[in-house]
Amino acid sequence: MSAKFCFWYLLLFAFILEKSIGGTYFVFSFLLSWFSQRREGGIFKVTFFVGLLLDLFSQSSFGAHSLFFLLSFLFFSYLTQRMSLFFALLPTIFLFTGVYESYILFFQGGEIVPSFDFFQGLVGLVFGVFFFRLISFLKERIILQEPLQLQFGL
Amino acid sequence: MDKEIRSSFFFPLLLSILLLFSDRTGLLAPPRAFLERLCSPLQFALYSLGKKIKSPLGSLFRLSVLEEENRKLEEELALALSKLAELKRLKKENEVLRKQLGVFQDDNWEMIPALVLGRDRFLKINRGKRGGVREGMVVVRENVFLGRIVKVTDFASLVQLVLDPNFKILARTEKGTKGIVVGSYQSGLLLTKVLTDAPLSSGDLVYARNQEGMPPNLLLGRIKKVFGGESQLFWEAEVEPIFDFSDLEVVFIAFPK
Repeated sequence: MSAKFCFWYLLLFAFILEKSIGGTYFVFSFLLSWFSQRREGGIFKVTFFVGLLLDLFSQSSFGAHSLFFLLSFLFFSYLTQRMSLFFALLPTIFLFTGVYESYILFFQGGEIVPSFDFFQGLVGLVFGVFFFRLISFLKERIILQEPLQLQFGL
Repeated sequence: MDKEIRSSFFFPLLLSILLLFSDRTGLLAPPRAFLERLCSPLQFALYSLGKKIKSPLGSLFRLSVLEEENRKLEEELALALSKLAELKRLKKENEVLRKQLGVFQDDNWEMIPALVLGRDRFLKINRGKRGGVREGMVVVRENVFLGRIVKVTDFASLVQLVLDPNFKILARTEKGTKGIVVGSYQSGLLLTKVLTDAPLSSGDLVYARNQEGMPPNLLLGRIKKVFGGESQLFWEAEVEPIFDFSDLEVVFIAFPK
């Protein structure tokens, strides 16, 4: 199994979950988990385009998902200087959930639905942990230590 | 972050901000409409694939629940079969009467089908402004009320489902008991504000009260459990939706003729 295959297969899986269950948290937690393992420039391009696709799917303003994804990466990088990767993942996902949902609610119209947002945050968290473990495993066992740009031709 | 990574980070970040402002001013409406049409089949394929994956996985965790459901269904089937014979007789009678009176169903409403493209907090469907859809329109399946359109773009719309906690609708039961149905992600639907002297029992069908802008006699669900007592001012009841909302592929938008 190649790294390229793993990456796109898992991303597709995250998209399927996103479309059938809801929330952008599957895709976000996957990208964040991947970023936690490999910090090369290519991941930002992927994140940007994946964000645009999600904007299209969820009828939010173009750039909204990409912007919040990328800002979360920045926050995550800041946190990882102070704590382990795994523990940095958790507050990042919760922060993303809160900030992103607030943006959607206040700027895109809608009202606050605490039960829904909290549930979505938890779902994101569970999948974030799942993806983090899975990618760590893949990285150790399967994926070669090449830079991401070479592996994915980005 | 390292310096070289930083440079490849800020370009997509700035581009995202630029896109965000452009979209909010409406500059990106034409490419969005084009992309929406282009991506509709992909969204539908992903949504359908997700349902196929979810269904066997969900069954594994719900074996005991399924067993209980099966027993209930068997009982209901036996009851339904006896009712079916009666219904057939009534249908024939009804057809004759309708012909005589010259009355047709849905005389004032046209039901336009739409494919479900995905589900988040809202249900996304593949009909938008270009298909005549407007905010506030009612979405149904058969005679079951599913929700209302809350956002419309050229080729797609978002439906706020009855399950949404912000959704409220005036309702009545088959016995004429009035109340308000509110959405709840945890328990499906809740019938609230029912006066304690009104008749209310599990199994009663709950309908949306007839209002302007929606077809009459739309079904919301069936009462599963009644809460509250004489010490309280109002009854509350858990209402079970008729359809599994995660299993919808086609819905209908009610257009006034």
